[in-house]
Amino acid sequence: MAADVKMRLRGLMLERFLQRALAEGAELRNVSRTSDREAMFFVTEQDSQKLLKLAERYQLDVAIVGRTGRSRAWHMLRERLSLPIALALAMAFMSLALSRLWLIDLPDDGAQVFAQELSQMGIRPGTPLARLDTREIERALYAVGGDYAFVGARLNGVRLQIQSVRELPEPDLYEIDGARDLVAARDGVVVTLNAFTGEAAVKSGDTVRRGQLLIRGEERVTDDLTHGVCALGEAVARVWVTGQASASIGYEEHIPTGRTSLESELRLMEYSLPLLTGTRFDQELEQVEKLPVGGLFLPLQIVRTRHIETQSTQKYRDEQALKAELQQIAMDQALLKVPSYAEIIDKWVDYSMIEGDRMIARAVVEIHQNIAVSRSALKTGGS
Amino acid sequence: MPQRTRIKPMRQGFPALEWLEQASGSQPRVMLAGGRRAMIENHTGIIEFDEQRVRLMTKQGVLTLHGQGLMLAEVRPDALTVRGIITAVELPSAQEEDEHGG
Repeated sequence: MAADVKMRLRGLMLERFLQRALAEGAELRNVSRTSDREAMFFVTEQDSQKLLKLAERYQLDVAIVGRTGRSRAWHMLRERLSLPIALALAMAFMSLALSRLWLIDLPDDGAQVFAQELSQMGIRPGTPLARLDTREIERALYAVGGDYAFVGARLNGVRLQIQSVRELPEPDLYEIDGARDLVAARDGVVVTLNAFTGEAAVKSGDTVRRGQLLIRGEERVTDDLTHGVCALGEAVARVWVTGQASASIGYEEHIPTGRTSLESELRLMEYSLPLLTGTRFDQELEQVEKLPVGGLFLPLQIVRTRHIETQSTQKYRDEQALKAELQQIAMDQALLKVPSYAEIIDKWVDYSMIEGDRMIARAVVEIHQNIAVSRSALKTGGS
Repeated sequence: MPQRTRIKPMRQGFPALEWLEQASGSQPRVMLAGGRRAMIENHTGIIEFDEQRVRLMTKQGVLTLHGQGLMLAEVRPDALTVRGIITAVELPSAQEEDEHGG
């Protein structure tokens, strides 16, 4: 064994102690005298214990002043015994945590349906990753999704990512040899009408209602004879889309009176144990804090509720500011209804008051839009 | 009462006996390596040591090493290594040898 333990010897008769150490069978290395009454030397770990006992027996000043090499490493490990245990535990915990699914990303569109299906498949945070089969998940979600063109499931570490793309609506197909009419998709005033095939049933300036015939699918062969054709054409009409928003001018403001009350309870899932009972006020605001007690995986928590007594005061908003706010909301709603291919001609907002303190803003957007659709497209809601 | 006379062992002229004495460990043995290291075998104890001088007890008397920066590189019950600049080795004198019963 290497002499890794550095010791210091102090006294008058240093040589005598060395002699006794030799008699005990100890072996010393690098014995150097640092002063008349002090010497330093190195011994093995085993011999250092012998020398300490010897020093105790003869009441001499012998002390370990340092350690090097393996002895130092061994002592460091013994002093920090909890470190390797903690490291091992941390490694075990990490490997356990990383072998499970913790996050599931769902697309906004269809999140509820997908979440329900995943739950039925037993896939939830905490499921072992080894149990997950992304192909099976894709198949199952595609089956329940209905009108999706693509559903993809991908594992990214401890995260399951679900992606989906909805099917595009089927374009308006027609048979060139099949007879059909074109009707108005919505109410409006006809601006221009171009009948490529078939006969125009209305003219510019006519007001039409939804479903009214615009281009008749027939062509005259002789004075007495007509035959059905597939009506094709474009009927651009002036139509209006609207948006509405309302709000009350008056509102109640809750001002804290300064009185508060605190209550807390220990909660484990649906079970709860009251810890502190507070007072409830007739008018109050509640601030709820949830403090986990058992960490991430134990749903034990302290729920602390602060009741703040308030007093209601009737207040009125600034009318101009409210008008501007409602105008913005109503106009945004109306513009959402404008098809991408339509041309905006004009837009305005009307205001009115109802029930004394309620203001309504109604935004109208005038557009030019082709409103000619087939009867079948009208039934399915197409335009 | 007749005076008792000590009889000295007859070593001179008997190399075999010298070898026997060396082998038995009664005689100190000093091995020098370039004036920087000295190994002393068959010592019986350390009398005194510091950076200039190391005095060792042997069965034949006191063995002294002089030098500078001396230190006991290795100390074992039967042997000892001195490291440093060794300038002189003082062996036990014949008289000392006699006194110690050599």
